[in-house]
Formats: sequence, C-alpha cells, structure tokens
Amino acid sequence: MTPEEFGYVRPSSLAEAVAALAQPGAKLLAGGQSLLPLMRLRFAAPKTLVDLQDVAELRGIEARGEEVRIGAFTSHVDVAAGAPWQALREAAEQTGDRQVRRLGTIGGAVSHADPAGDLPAALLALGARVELVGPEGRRSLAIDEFFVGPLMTAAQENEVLEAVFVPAEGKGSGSAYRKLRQEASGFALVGVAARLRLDGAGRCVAAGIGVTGVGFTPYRARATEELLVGTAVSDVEVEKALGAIVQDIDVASDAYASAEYRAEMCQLFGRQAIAAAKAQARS
Amino acid sequence: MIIELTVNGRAVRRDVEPRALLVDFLREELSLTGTKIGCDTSQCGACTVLLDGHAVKSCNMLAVQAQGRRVVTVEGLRDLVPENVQQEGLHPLQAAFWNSHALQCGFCTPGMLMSACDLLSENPDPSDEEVRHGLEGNLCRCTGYEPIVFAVQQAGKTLREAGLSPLGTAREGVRE
Ligand SMILES: Cc1cc2nc3c(=O)[nH]c(=O)nc-3n(C[C@H](O)[C@H](O)[C@H](O)COP(=O)(O)OP(=O)(O)OC[C@H]3O[C@@H](n4cnc5c(N)ncnc54)[C@H](O)[C@@H]3O)c2cc1C
Repeated sequence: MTPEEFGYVRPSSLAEAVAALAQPGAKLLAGGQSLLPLMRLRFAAPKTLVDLQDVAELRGIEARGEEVRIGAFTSHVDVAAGAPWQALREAAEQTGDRQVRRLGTIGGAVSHADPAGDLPAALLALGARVELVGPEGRRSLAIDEFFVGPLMTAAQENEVLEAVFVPAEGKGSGSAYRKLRQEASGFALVGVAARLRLDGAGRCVAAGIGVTGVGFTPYRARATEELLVGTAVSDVEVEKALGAIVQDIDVASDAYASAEYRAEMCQLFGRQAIAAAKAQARS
Repeated sequence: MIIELTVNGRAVRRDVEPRALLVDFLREELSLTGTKIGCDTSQCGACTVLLDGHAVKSCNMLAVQAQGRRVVTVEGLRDLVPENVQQEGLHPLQAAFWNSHALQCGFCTPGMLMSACDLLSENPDPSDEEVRHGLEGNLCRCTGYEPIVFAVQQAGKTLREAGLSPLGTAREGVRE
C-alpha cells in the first residue's frame, strides 16, 4: 500500500537535520526498513520525512580514545564487516536479510527499539552508550537507559541519535551473539549476546549479557553478569549464572513460543554465546 | 518533486510524489514491469533491484531516496556484461536459471536474479550454504530452492571463467 501523503527533505548536515526535525510532524528516515513498512500499513503518517542519507557526520566507524564511534547512519552491512566486537558483527550479520542489511542502519535499529531487535542485544552486552543531539544540545545516555518500552526510547521527538559508542576491545576480551530465529520472519524468538573479559589466570573480571526477544524491551541480564564475574566461567558456574537470565523479567508468550520455551531457550543460547565469548577471550 | 537518477544506464528525470515507492515508480512511471510486487511486508524479495550495485527491496524504499543514484532492474541485467559473455542475449545468471530450470511460475525470478547478482559480486564461488544464506531475502514457493542454488553456482562458474564479476567489472579468473 502507498503511505499517506507527506513532505520530504534531505538535509546535508546534522545541524540542518536537527532544525528540520524540530518542525511539527517531522520524522527521521534512515534506512526506512522499519519506518516505511509502518507507513505503508498506515500505522504511521508523519507530515514530513527528514532523510538522513546525505548527513556525513552520521556515517562511519572510527576509534575515539577508549571507545569506538559508530555513526547512526552506518548500515548493518558495514557494521557486520567493520565494527569491533564479534557480538556486534554477528548481530548485524543476523539482522534481516541481504537487502534489509544494505539499507538498514544501526541508528534506525536502536531508535526503532524493537523488543526482538538483534543489535540492541549486542549493544547492551557491550555496555554501549548513545549520543543524541537536539535543539538544546548534545547528551549521552547509557544504552540500558535508552530502551523504555516496545518501540519506545528515552530520546525526545526532536533529538537525532548521532552515534553509538562501544568500548574498545581490550586484551583478554571476547564476545558473541547467538539467536534462535522465528523461521518465517527471521526475527529473534530469543537472542543472547555475551561479553567477557578474562584475566591471565582465566578468571572473569567483567561480563555483559544482553537479551532480546524475551522481555518488554531488550535488556541487560545484570544478575547473570554478577554471577559470572570472579568465576573461571566453568560449565557449572555458567549454568548457575544463567539460572538468573530471566530474573524479574515478564517473559513474552505468543503464538510462536510460550514463556516457558523462551526461558529455556535463553539458557541454551546463553550458554552458546558465553562459550563462544570465552573461547575468544582466551585465544 | 523532481528527481534525477540513472535507471539501467539511462538518465531519468521525473516529477514524483514523495510517497511513491521505488517499485511503483519503476513499474508505473517507467513501465519496467519485470520488477514484481509479491507481498505487502517487504519479506518476499520479488521487487529486488540493484541500487548503486547492491540488492535492495524496491517496495521498501521511496523513489525520492534514489535521487542521484544508479538503479538496475532485471531489464538492465544483461547489459551489465559485454555481449560476448551473454548467452543468447541473456546475462549468465539468466542463462543459468533458464538452463537449470530454476523457476516454475517465474514470479520470484527477477528478484532472485538481482539478489544473486549482488551475492556473486561479493562471493564469486559460494557454497550451497552461502547461496541459501545470500538469498534468504527472496522467497520461492515453487522450486524448493534446489535448482536455484545450482543455477547461481553455475553462473558463478561461467563468470569466473570469463574473469568478470556479475556487474561486468574485471576480476581474477579463478580463485585459488
Ligand atoms: C524483511 C525485514 C526483516 C527484518 N528483520 C530484522 C531482524 O531479524 N532483526 C532486527 O533486529 N531487525 C530486523 N528488521 C528491521 C531492520 O533491522 C531495520 O533496518 C531497523 O530496525 C531500522 O533501521 P532503519 O535504518 O531501516 O531505520 P528507519 O526504518 O528509517 O527508522 C526506524 C525508526 O528510527 C528512527 N530513526 C532512524 N534513524 C534515527 C536517528 N539517527 N536518530 C533518531 N531516530 C532515528 C525513525 O524516525 C524511525 O522511527 C527487518 C526489517 C525488514 C523489512
């Protein structure tokens, strides 16, 4: 179906984009892979689309001190090929299909805030942060404060997500993302991203676990992280830590999978993600 | 609003509504009906075209987003490669689909060809698994995919022997 009528602007700088977004009824257009389907179904009818494709400040992946900056308009293909952290590359590679990955962007995926989004899980595990720019200036938010509900974020309507920042990969660290796909849609029934840092003796000194497809929003499984830190990440210790992966979460239940099944799959895919992260951290 | 872009190598200038989808623009404004509309959810891939050499779903993109860019549809596929590499006027991918009977109803074929073109330009010699993963954005309800996987690999072989990418650019003939 054709969307309702709207105006279209294509700013060439971030400042222009912020100004265009300040107009009533304006909405940002990145890859369009989530927004256009909604507009075609007429679930969304913005008055003006502000296409970000010419905004150079929003593109590219570069090291910034202790962090790596990934511009919001970086495509899933480019994240899969050039981002740090295996978990992030794997999440991008497992997002949608070839065509979707070409147009879809990391900023769009984070801002869309799908409760089953793949990139959010990886970014949660990595302890990423986002930078938002609005008429009042710039602010930084930790990614786990960003997802507030299904398709809802802590960004204001007049803010542009400029970039995602992830910590640089340190020595002894490893990460992975494992996903159980719903076969027809390709979306995650369950997705778990794990990040570990091990010291010289193989002891876990830092852990991050991001979970998607399971809760109200993608979330960070803090209890599991705490149970992993200080251990040697043995099978028994991993088992115990994963026992807490859906702690305090209202686990989703739908036609595709019951809450019980999802909780069980969190254990399985969590175990695989942690094992892969551990193997990398040691190599 | 006026847009200018290149479609199948020709410069095109048209006045379009911002809400026009690229697929409708191609089919209705330019009469390029080879590109199909197979679903309403951007999942089937029948509308796949090349945008600056890469596969995208033209049902999930606005025509205005293609301003200043290069679009190739199935009608322009064969002209990507020189005549001596075409087989009876077909791109090696089209010829391989024809020869291996990689279609029954044919509705998904234009999209399959465009995605396969992108896949082979990135990976000249894909395994079965790599073809299946590479074409996961294209659904076929007839063939069960087997002959499609085979056809893509056959086309890959033809192109490797010709020392060409499916987009017509020169590349090393055979991989180690
Ligand atoms: C067939 C299909 C399969 C898919 N499968 C998956 C999957 O398996 N896993 C998955 O995670 N996703 C999947 N997706 C969604 C895909 O990952 C999208 O690319 C992504 O969710 C949105 O990114 P986009 O760049 O396309 O954003 P758009 O669709 O352009 O925008 C999405 C939302 O974000 C806002 N926005 C965009 N950029 C910014 C910015 N810089 N600052 C502030 N707000 C912004 C827009 O206003 C809009 O509200 C699929 C999509 C399709 C069509």
